[in-house]
Amino acid sequence: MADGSLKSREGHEITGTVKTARMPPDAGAVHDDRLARSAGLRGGYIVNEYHFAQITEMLLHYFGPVWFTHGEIEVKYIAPLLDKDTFIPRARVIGEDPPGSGRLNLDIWCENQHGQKLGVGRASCLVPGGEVQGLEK
Amino acid sequence: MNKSQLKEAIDAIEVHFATLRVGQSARQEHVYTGEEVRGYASRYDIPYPGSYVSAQGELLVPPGMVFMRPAATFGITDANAPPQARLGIYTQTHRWYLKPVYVGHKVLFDGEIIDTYERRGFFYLAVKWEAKDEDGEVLARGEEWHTLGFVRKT
Repeated sequence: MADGSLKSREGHEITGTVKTARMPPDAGAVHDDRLARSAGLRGGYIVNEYHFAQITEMLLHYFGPVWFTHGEIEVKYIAPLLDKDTFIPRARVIGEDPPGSGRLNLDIWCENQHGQKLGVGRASCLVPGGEVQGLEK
Repeated sequence: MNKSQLKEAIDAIEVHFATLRVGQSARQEHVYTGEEVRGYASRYDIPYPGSYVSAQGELLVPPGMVFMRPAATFGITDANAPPQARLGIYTQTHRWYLKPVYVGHKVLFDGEIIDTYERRGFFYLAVKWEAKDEDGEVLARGEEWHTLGFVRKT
């Protein structure tokens, strides 16, 4: 495994596609603004599947198709995303772990237009040949 | 939502929560159709098919679709239950992807409750699951944490 090239990626930051979140038209229950407010919430929350879809899209673009067969992701949802909020998926490369495994680990998170973190976690993927597709800044 | 509606929702959640047992299992099978996958992509603003095509040109299911839904599987599914007691909020997820999932192929899910607990007025359910193809090959596995409903017991 080209651990030298993996080492060189440590600390690199990745930003996925920035989007304006929109409530799906058939959203119900907790995603319904009226129902959610009636239960004491701030408003209808965008379903957390939205966050997951955007983060995994970012990781697929970063790692390439190997994500389908060697991807791992863990996310904790810590704050709600509201309708029309800006959604920004991000990641930072931690490094290869376990050493020599060829598996690249990343801190992942997503935030809104205020810089508030909505979800945090870790992801990892095997990186054959130490090559990733890109997106790094 | 007035106090009696809140109580009705909380009561429904508590009654259902009391029936859940660690080790309780469920099995489901699912075929992700092209229409379903395109609907997901549209709903979550994901370009499709985009990167979701195999080297052989077969359409793939976005990984975000491949999981067992804890509340839809083990939660309150009675359509007559208060809406605030049904489904709930994802709080955490951990998933491993081992093989691509193809559109139109059957996927078999086996899930099991691994924890139930009450915290700060919410009732939680944790589930682990495994997805296999028809040959028994593991496609993905995961663990999900979810609330039962979205009202808080005060």
